[in-house]
Amino acid sequence: MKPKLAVVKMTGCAGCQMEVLRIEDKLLDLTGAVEIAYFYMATSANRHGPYDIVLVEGSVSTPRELRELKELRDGAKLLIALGDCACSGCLPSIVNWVPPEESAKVYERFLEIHSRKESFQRVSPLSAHVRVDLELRGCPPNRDAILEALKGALLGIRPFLREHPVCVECKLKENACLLVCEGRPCMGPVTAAGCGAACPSNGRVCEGCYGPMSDANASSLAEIFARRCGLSQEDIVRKFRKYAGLMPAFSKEAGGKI
Amino acid sequence: MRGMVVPKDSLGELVSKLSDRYKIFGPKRKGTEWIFGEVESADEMDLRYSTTILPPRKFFLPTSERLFSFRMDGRVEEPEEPDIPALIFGIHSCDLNALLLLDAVFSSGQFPLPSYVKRRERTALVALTCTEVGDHCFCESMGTGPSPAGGYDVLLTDLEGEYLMESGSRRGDEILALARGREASKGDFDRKAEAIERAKSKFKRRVDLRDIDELFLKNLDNPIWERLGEKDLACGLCVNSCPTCFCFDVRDKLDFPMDSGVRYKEWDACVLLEFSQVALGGNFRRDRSARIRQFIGHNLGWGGASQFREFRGKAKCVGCGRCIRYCPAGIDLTEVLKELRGA
Repeated sequence: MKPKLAVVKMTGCAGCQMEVLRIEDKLLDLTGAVEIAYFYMATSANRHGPYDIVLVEGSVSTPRELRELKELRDGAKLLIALGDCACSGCLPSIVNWVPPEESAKVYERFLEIHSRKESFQRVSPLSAHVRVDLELRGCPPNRDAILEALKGALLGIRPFLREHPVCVECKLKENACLLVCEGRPCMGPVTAAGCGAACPSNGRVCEGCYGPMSDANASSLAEIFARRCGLSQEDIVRKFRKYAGLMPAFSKEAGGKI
Repeated sequence: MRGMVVPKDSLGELVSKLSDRYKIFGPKRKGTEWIFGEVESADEMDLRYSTTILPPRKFFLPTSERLFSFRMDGRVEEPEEPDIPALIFGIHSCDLNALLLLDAVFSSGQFPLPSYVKRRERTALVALTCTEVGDHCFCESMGTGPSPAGGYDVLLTDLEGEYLMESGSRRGDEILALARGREASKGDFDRKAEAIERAKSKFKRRVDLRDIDELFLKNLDNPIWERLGEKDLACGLCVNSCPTCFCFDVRDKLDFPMDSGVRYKEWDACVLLEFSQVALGGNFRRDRSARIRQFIGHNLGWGGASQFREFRGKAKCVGCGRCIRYCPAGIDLTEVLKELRGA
């Protein structure tokens, strides 16, 4: 019997499951190898769990999501965090640093927002609540990494996902370093690779959307941002808070633990 | 010694003749920097370049390459090597000497690498004497520049308004035969020697290599490594831009539906955490301080004392200065060496 695959969404933008659909030419091979039991974006024939392989997109921001996550975990052979929200909290996690009264200034009917109404008040990555077997980083993760993860799941081996910095991919593409040659505040040296240095290859600094690389030296980069790029302390905090401020490797530079 | 003197404006004609026989790669502008890229005419090249982002080793040890593809039924297929002769135009003395060091590892020795040997054989090298010296260069101290003693097919030296062209091989003789110019005189070789002396006086960086192996072995526990580890970003820019770093990783990748796959080889770097990781997460160089010590030590010291006896006591470093130029954290191995000497 083919293993049952589920793609489930929590708090996030659905861009990561969109990326699962983007494996296009391999999608038929995938449906030959697994039964797609739950994938709301792709099919209307969704079945109840338990599922063998669960890809969870999004972070946890309501008690209902937490209940669902625990249920999925209990039934799953493999639970894979799909994308940054699930791995590190990503953009939604910025709310953790924002006092409720600030949010109330922006949103007219503030208490109708689920995550606020249910007084959960915090956004957290999956690993804060359950055991996660594999993290697919990125906003969204690269389709090759998604495929490698699924192949690994089917073969029962740990997929090879490099956690070295974006700088490696960037250098091998022979880009002139934006940080060294132009003094621009690029997050590449502390950010995990996997995107193929997409932004620096197009002349934009790395925003850090894959979260910390395996051995991120955040304090040294923060010092370089201040000294070499002339960034203010507030700007440095924003840089480190944007995608992965909850991760231990960035938390100090992101303004401390909350 | 056979040589020719050619007017500078005849270079275009020569390159155009060479392009009938060779695929030509030369230094081209990329943003604020330069890269070795394919060129069709001399106009696309900037021979006054300082250094390139990636060193020429990329032509001989590609950043990533397929070793073979396989099927689960046991069939194995090796990729066809294209047999197009290539020519690298304008390679500096440091990078040329770097290739000679890589030859010692991959061409001779106990285990030659066939793809490397083949690529070296079919690639002509037109070297260039450096008459200007970059801010980060220290080839003179390493004995690898500013002009190469050999290893080239052709050596060009800028004699202001014209080039002295010397042949270093039979292939070089053939290239010289395509050039339009006059036979070089003793006076021309004297002008070359003067240009080299002028270049030598311009170096801002010098390193002292005396008893270098002992110096490093004595300083394995020097607190400087801890300090460097705090600054070090472990971004890999130094290793990936190094003309003599040659470490690689070998991996398999399966295709869906997993009845076939490829085995490939790609550059690896000792300053990255994963480099020295073994099964169950064990790691011989977990701290950045240990990794930066390895990089600097392997480049300047223990070249002769280590397992890389192919280098025959020569340092691995050729003084190209890329690791200094491209380090975001400002780590400079020439300064580290000075500090170890207590200067």
